[in-house]
Amino acid sequence: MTEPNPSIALVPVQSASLVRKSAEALAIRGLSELQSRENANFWFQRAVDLLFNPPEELLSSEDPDEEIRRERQLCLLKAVEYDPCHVEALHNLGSDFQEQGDLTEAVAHYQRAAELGSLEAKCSLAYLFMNGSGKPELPPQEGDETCLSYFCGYAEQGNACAQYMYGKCFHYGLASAPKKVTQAAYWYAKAAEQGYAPAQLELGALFESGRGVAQDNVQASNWYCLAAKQGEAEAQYRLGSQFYKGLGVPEDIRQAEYWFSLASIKGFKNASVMLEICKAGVSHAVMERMSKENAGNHG
Amino acid sequence: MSSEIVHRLSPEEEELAAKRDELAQLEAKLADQELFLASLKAELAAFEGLYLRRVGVLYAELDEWAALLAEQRAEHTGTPEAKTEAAEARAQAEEAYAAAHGAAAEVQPFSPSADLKKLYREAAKRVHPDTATDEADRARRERLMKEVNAAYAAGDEDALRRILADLDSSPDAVQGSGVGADLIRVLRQLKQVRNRIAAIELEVTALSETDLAKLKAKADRAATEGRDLLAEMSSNVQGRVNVARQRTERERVKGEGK
Repeated sequence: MTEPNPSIALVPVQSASLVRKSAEALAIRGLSELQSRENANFWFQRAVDLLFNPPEELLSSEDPDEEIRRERQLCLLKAVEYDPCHVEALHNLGSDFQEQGDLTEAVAHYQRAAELGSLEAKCSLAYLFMNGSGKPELPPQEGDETCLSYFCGYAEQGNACAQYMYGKCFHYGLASAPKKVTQAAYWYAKAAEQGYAPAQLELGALFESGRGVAQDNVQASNWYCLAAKQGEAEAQYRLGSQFYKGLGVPEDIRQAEYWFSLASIKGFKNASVMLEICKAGVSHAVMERMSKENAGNHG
Repeated sequence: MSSEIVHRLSPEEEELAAKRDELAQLEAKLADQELFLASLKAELAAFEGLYLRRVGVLYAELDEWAALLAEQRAEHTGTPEAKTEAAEARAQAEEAYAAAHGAAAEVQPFSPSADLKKLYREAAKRVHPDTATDEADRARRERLMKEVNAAYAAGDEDALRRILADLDSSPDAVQGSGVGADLIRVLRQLKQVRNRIAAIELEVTALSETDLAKLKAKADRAATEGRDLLAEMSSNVQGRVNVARQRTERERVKGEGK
């Protein structure tokens, strides 16, 4: 059935064993890179966990936000050290540096992730570029496109991050887009339906205020809830408020307290005040009356 | 039956019968162990083939781009360091290419049928070199065992059947004369078979500690979680190949622009 393969038989013994050795070398290479990637994933996961479940000792420190940020950056850098091609870690590092205002580093990390094919990173780069700061060199074939067409292209391909940013351009009239909130709501919804938390938050806010869409508190609370569960601090705060006031959801001070506490851990402004009010058991109705009386006294 | 009543076995004969039983059991065990070892080797070779075809070729491509980049740089700068680097990168690329496109990459998936396993076990029991009675017999059996192993790895049932048929037609090794001689031979065979079983255990341990086996174990574990590890690895290396290609092309354009 199987004829002996003459070409294999003719290979001199020594070179055949050399080939065997380098085939093994390829296996070793794969294995060690796999190990590195596992290590990188471990550190990346830790960086993610720091945001969602910050450890007690960090929370009780003097400046928890700064501690968490520093710890998180260490984790991400470790992840990238183990796997220099860890796209998510690179992108996260980029946005961390951007938040700190270190645009050179932010651009360097975004670019590396973009080079590896991350659409998110490309959009982040374009967004920085759009803001006129950092001056990233976009990939040459894409550099002369306007940011708007850049987002538009990816948004139409179904990329959630691009859809969000494209929506944002219409929302605030950025990148020479017309200020058109209905258009913004359309793209936010596209991204939100894909589970993109920042878009869920924006969409919820549009529903709450009734801008670009018909006012709908049930929709607002639903979108806030989806974003809040993904750790979006502002969504947690806003969801807490919805529960506190009973808008779109039944009034529930315990639920409100829970979401305010999550938002206050992340240092979201007002969240800690609202948390105290909930803990004291002061209901929305009481607060309303008190503020009216205050207004009456002053008036 | 009746002869047993008339003829009482001498103590030597009893011992010989007991040892023959023991040998038969050990031979069956040995055949199982040989089957296990041969299957392990074939599975590893098949996995290696798969790995080289799916991931290895991409490493070879990655090294090729790295070599091209190093060569471009060596050409532009002309420094001896850059030249050495380029030569090293080229050697590495050639080595990776040879490995990824060599004979090892051609090994196809291994899935032995129950029949094939049965034939192998039978053939291994019959031809095993460690049950040889003398040196000439041993040499013949070693050759046959190699054929059996090769046929098994290739999934060739016909070849195994042919080997078994040839055995049936060849005269069995001449039995020694006398109970004492037989007993000595059986004891020697027992020892050889035990040694071989121990050697197989060592070989199996050594094989499962190779990097290839570790990689395979990871891939198998990932598969139970519904993940395709080799696909993950290849997409990762593919990403780096794309980066390396872009970088090489960018530098080439830059170099030409100068």
